[in-house]
Amino acid sequence: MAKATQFSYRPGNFVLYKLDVRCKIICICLLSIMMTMANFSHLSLISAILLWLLYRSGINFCVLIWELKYFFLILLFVFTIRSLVTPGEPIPILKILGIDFFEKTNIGMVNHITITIEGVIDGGKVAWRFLVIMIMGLLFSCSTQTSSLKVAVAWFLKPFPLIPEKRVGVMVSLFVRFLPLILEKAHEVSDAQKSRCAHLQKNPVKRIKNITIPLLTKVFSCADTLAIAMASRCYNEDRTEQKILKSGYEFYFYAGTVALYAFILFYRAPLFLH
Amino acid sequence: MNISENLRMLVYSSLFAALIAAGAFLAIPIGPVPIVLQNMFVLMAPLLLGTKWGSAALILYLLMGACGFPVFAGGTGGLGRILGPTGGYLLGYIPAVCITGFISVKAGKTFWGDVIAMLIGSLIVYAAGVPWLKVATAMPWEKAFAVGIYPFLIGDILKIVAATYCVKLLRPMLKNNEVNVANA
Repeated sequence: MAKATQFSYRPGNFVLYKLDVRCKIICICLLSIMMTMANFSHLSLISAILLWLLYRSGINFCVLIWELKYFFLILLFVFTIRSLVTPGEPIPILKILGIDFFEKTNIGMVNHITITIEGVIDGGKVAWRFLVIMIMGLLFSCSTQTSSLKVAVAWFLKPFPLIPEKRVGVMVSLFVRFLPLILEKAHEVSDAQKSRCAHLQKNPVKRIKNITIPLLTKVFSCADTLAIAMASRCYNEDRTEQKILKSGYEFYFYAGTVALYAFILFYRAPLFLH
Repeated sequence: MNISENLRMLVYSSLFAALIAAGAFLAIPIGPVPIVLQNMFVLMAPLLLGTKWGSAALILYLLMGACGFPVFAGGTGGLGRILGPTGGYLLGYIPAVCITGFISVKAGKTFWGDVIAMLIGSLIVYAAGVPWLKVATAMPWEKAFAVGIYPFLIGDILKIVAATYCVKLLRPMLKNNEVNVANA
């Protein structure tokens, strides 16, 4: 579990930790949406701010890169595809070196494809945007306690008529309670299967079944125990809610987000930074 | 002790949301592409919990992911993943769960009914995911199919077969638990 939740909440004194969770969610949503319009100059500024926030939050950059390794693969994939399929001028150095790329289509013909300058620029921009959004998400999960998240989720869902916001709040806390338990049980089941040489089993369906059935049996039994425990403690949805604490810095964060929005909308950098 | 059905299903639904999240980390190394159990749990949710609570589990999972919890594949989270190139698959899970549950109930929760329900559910996930992937990465249709469907087809079929057996075994167990918990 420690591996899976490297970016779970860790205590800290930085302003991000004390900020109202609702403010963090609103700012992240707005920034995620504005990323669709960001060019290289905007991305440089936002990345610099995020790097400063990461540094001040005490997050280890090496751990960050290691934890995001799979995400970097997705980014590399997006970058490669964009570079190959965006029409435009081929990169001169590849032409000089005689590097060419070929692909076989499904009807057996050979198509000629090239890496274009436009494609590389576009791919780089899109991959950078996704990375920025991802880092914002990580900063959020590092600096937010589950209990405050639960209250914030209930607060956001309050205006929606058909959604029982308190129930969703309880489900959020149960979800966080169950996630490490499932990973722990999965590890146990996997070890037990290995000790019985189940990993040598050739039939993939049997291998999936061998993991899934014991895992689900175990976790459902835990869920039943929890349901009994909740009922024995007279659980109901009419509970005293935790209060959302404000740090006093929320205004600056909203103002900063609006300023970034204005910067992205109105500032147009020189052509090479687009 | 009288435990209401609502409370039990609420706990199960949260459990399934956590299972879907954990499914992203549970990979069975078979062949070149390891089989990730996440979409199997997504399709099993409506079959074991019913359409209403299965959808609730999935929406909770997406909500947690959107809030920045590292629950999506690769241990990442955030709105960026939902708006990102693979976001179509994540959002496609919602109609897939509803329709899988609906078909399974209409087919009388039989073995073949479950298989067909899960097959259609998988198709819906691809129907939402591939066009999204095409738009996000600006690749042509044939490439989008080549990277967004073909590598996962065999794994999906294996998962559907395995999931059907698991559901067949687990349904009576949940029914027994219901009685045991109610009598606890």
